[in-house]
Amino acid sequence: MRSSLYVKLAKTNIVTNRKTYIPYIITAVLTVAMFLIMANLRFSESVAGIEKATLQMILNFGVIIIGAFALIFLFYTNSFLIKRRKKELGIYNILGMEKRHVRRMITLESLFVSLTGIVGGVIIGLLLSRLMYMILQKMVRYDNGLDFEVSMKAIWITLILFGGIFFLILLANLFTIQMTNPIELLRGGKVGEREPKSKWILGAIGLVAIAAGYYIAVTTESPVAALNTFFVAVVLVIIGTYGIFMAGSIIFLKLLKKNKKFYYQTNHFVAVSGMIYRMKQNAVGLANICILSTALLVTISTTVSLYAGMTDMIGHSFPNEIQVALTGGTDEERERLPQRVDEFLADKGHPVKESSYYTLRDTVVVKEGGKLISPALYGSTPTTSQMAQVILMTLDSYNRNTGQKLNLDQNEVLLYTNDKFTDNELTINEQTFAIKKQVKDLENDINNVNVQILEQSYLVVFNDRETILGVLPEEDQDIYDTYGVDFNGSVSEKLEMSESIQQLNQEFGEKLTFSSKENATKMYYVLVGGLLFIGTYFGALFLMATVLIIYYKQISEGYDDKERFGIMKKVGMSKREISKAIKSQVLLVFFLPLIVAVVHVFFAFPVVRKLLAILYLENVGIFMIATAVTILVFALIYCLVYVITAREYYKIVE
Amino acid sequence: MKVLDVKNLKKVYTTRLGAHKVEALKDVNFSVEQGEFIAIMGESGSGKTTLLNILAALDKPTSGKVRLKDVDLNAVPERRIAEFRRNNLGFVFQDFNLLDTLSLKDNILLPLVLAGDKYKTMEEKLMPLAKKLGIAPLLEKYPYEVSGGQKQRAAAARALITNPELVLADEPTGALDSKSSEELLRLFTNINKEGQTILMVTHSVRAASVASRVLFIKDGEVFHQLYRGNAGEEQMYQKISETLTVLAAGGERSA
Repeated sequence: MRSSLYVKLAKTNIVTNRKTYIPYIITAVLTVAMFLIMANLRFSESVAGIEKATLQMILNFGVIIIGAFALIFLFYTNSFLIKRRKKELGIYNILGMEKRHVRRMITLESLFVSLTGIVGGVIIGLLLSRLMYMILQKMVRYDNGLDFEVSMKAIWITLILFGGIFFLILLANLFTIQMTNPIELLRGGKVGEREPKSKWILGAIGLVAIAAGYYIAVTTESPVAALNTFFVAVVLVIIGTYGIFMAGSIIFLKLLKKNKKFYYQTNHFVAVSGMIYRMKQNAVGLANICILSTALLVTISTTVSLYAGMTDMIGHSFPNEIQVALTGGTDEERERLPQRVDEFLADKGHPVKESSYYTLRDTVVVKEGGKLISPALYGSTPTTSQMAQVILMTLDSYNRNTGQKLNLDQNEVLLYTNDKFTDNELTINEQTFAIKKQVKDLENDINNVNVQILEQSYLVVFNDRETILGVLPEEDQDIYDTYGVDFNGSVSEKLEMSESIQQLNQEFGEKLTFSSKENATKMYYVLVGGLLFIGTYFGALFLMATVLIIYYKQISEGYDDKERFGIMKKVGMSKREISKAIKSQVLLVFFLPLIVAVVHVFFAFPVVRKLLAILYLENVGIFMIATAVTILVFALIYCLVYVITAREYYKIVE
Repeated sequence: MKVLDVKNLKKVYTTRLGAHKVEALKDVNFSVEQGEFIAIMGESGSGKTTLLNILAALDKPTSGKVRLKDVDLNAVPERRIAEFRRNNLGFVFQDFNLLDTLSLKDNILLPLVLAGDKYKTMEEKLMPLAKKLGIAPLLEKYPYEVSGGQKQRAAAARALITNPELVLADEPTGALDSKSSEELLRLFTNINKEGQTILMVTHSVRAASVASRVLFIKDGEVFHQLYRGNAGEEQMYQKISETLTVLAAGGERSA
């Protein structure tokens, strides 16, 4: 055969299969573009200027995820395409085309599709890169004045990666053609639909996993414990979701079917038998959509909350503009520190407005039998639930910052705790103190000190410094004298001050450590802004994947359902009954993943809240609103996709 | 008693823009008595399928009347047509048209389920019928697990379970091997003997030869008909063959 014929055939094939080919090409273009944009940001010098380590780490992560995603996703959509086309290829075979001819035709088609995908993707990617750079800059609130430039390295990586992916897909397609005979090709996807078996074990595992995941998510009390349990809960819920969709749904439907009285009613009969068949074919796809949606909702709602709650978070961690902590200083140095800081700032034209001075030690201890023990003195490894936060503070600091004039004996303490504690004695590292007073509410001023990271937190006020040193284990005698100041000035002035004040370290023998609110704000914006950028970027990617999976599902089901409903019509089902049956099934299949995803998010809420508390985002309102808005927007887009794809579906069925 | 009465039936297909008209049925007249077994024969394009679709209320005639029992099909409102079809007609198709997602049992029960019957009455109707058609042991199987002949018997069971006035069969032996075909034709003869009225469209002379009357359609009209009378199947076969030869040669109208 002449080669021009192949070109012609390949062209006609793509045109006649446009219903499935065009979405595939669009996906290819968009995936390539999204990868290129991310890679371009990752390798561009101008982005590197923003905040090298943090942002590049985030972007690196983004590049890897999108690359992996592209591989899986393009393979998935291709498998759908080739399944649809098996019959057509079988006909070519029977008409006398040899396999090598079909191979040649398919290769040409793939070449066309991949070239369009890669070239189109690179062009769109390059066009959008500048815009994305600007958005990223805005999100991280960082303008280094550099213009965006294109990284050749990113383009090369994109070309090589996607060239490789498309080549692998071609190989897979050629392999499929090689392995099947014409008759099988002719029959295509239509091998007898066996009724699925009830997989009780998988169903039970799914149910248990999901219940366990939910239980962990809801019952985890301390934020630190949440760090460990969150991951476990996520894995359990993912396993559970697959179990429930793949086995649970079918078990449930088959139980309905067993109930003859229920099953043999007009509406139930068509719906149940149809759903069994649909769930068998779609369980994995639906579970995928569900997990993608959950990931999307959680990622976006948390990053948005972090971004929106940034001021709160920073305010919590950095009660003052600048904090200077003295470790292991002498009495004289302790005396001198506030003076020197005030003088220094006044000299620079930023007189101190407000200040606070604490002498304290913030530490984590093990709580056992009502006693608090330093980890160093505790023999074995404590469990998370045993961990308690203890802040040891001098009476001086307490009185100064609360404006009270309390007295304590050497063996007396003041106590504040969020734990249930009713004893009138407190034992720390084998020393017992009488509790002179248990403070019920921490006065506002003391809130500068962060109590309540853990479920069990103690603030213990001792008579003096020596008592605290006596309580601490010998190898860990650090007590921090932290002086925090507020002053007026612009952002850049504050940043400048936070730099220049570090000169004081020379006077104090390098015993000072500094922290600055503005500096932290800058860093936080890079980190959280970067995360928000990646989060929404992934969001867009997941959404595209979800949309496409749904579209292909609708189309392929449309072709299958066309026949089934045709038969029902002949047997005596009215058009109205048919469209009612179709609608309820399509709606159920379509919205099931969304509903389950929302339930997942609902159960994830408490544990994610705890995680956010570690980052001092304690404003539940922000998180709640962010979650609600994210769900709402996602649901809206989801519905839109439904409306569009459902129209295609009905066109096919009718 | 007349089960079916077809008068001056005409069906004209118009291409979408109305530029071209095709007359599928010109003027069809015939009637079917209770308990008859009618075969309709004709070449491809003679209008057989169009006729069957109209009888099945799947399509509307351009003009003319179809009366099933005492009901004019034209007068049945659109929203009742499905119900009417399922209460009065049974269908057997060439390619079986069984739903491969349902077991044979559920396929057979489908019309009853659609009609909203109680499960108990469904079972009462199902078992004797399944036994008669020899598919009782296969009820829990799925269509892809049984042979073509068995599928067609299940389809016949589905057509019969509602006790329809009329069974419409469209090339029922078309996809079957000769042994299965014979079995199915025996089955049809038996149920016909029990009083079931059957109207079958077929190409097969063998299939038509079991009928009590054969109508020949040509160019959208009933061109000729043969009554069995006392003739055996062999003789009937002979007669049909001869008629077809004459028809093919463009013979004069003789009915």
